[in-house]
Amino acid sequence: MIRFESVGFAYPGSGGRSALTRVTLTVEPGELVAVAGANGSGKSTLARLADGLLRPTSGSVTVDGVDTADDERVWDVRSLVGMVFQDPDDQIVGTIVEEDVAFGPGNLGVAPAELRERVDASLAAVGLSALSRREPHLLSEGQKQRVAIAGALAMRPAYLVLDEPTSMLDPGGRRSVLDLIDGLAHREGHGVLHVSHDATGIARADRVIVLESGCVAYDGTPAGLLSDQAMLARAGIALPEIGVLADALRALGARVPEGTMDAESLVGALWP
Amino acid sequence: MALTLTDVAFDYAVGTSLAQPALRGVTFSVAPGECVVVLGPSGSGKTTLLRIAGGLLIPSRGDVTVDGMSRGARRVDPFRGAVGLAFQRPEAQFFAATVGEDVAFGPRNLGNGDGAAAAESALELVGLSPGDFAERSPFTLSGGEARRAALAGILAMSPRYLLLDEPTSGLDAAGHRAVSEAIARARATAGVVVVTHDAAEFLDHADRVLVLQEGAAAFSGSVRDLLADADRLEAGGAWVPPEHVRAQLLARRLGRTTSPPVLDPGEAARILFASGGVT
Repeated sequence: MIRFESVGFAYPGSGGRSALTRVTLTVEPGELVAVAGANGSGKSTLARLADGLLRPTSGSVTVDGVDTADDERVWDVRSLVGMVFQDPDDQIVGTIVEEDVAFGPGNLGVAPAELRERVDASLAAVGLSALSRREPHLLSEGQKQRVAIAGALAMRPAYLVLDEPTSMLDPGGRRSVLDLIDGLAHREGHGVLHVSHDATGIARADRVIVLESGCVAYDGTPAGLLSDQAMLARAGIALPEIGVLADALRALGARVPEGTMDAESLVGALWP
Repeated sequence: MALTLTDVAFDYAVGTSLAQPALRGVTFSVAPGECVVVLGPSGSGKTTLLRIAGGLLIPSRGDVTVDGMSRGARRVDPFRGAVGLAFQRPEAQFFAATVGEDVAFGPRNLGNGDGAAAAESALELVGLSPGDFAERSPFTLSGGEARRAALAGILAMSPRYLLLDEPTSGLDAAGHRAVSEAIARARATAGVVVVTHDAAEFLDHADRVLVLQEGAAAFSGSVRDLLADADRLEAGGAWVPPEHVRAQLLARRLGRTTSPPVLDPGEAARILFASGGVT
């Protein structure tokens, strides 16, 4: 598992202003953990600590028992944890899409036949098979975001850290990436840390952690968070219209379960 | 006065094996005081359209005019000072040592004194208090704060036409509200074009909506007509409506209601509840 033990972090030159303070959390294989919080609350810092890109100023981060601060084991950590950054341009290096996806596993020395198979499977998983020979700079931002996810998948990591991976996707793309994330954790057994502002994404997690000014303000179920107006406000999450609609229906006397965030379940609850 | 695109087409990578059309003849205009929302799937040409409207790309066919002037008709660039374009990742354009200087750069270059006053009010407008943020390095901001600071840099130039590419992706709830209010205020004097996937949020502002699909207009008209046409657009893959609108479409397909979908969730709840048989 990924384990944060009382982690503190301050960026160099920040005058000691802490980005994270005493954060303790775990992500187990097969578990989907969402991280929410207002802008500047420390979400991306937490994501970068999870795969050893940053090292804690105090406390420790371990992945399957390996300390991310251990210089000797840094490559072990990197191969265990795949990372998808907020801005896909930060990680796209290939001249065409499939070459970019092949870059990571190619560097791990994966044999050509398996490499081909991994690239095709990863592109299929994100719905980009048809664009495999396109130049990345000719893709839309939403398409690039999916290339970045495919690149991380092709590494076959045990854990995935996704920093707002759906922020630039269209609603159809968002739903398919959320389905993909769900499957990665619950069908394929990856441990997934999903940083998100989006209530529909958060609703599908096993557990949600809310950061507030670098501290853990909530650690519990999505339904518990989504029905707690005050905590939602502290987390900087706006209840989407479907949630407002569900609340309004409940106020009228309809039986709609807490945490209902998609049209099919809402209509299914109204007319079973 | 208007920013007008007439039958505009654009192809990327012309003359190579990767050549692909991004726009195939789109007509569209926005006048000061109007807000046009542009929707469409990833890769449908939304960003290309905005870059053409901002004068960054020259269309391979068709005309672009700013208040009647086209590029080349005068020696002066008609886009300069008139059209402000905020990129999807606007924080990529930071360069100054502090947020305050960065935001002041635009108005200062347009001859608006040292730009400090314009910068201060623009920062207020996006919900970043100048006292807390003006002296910070833009490179120490979080993703969402950076997005807002970059938007302030565009607003500080008071453009007549404001073009925004996904202005709220990556923002928290307070950021969404700040951007929404900034648009409402900018719109008192400027024409605003918003490219977005977040239709629920921006349709409230919209006078008109353009839905792009594979580089062509799949829909162009009012919000009311868009909602009335939602079934066709969804079936054709041009638009996935927000979930609360989809719930209403679904209820209608099941014969539970005959009402066309509405944007207001409270009103939608009343319509669905009144349609009968609700558990």
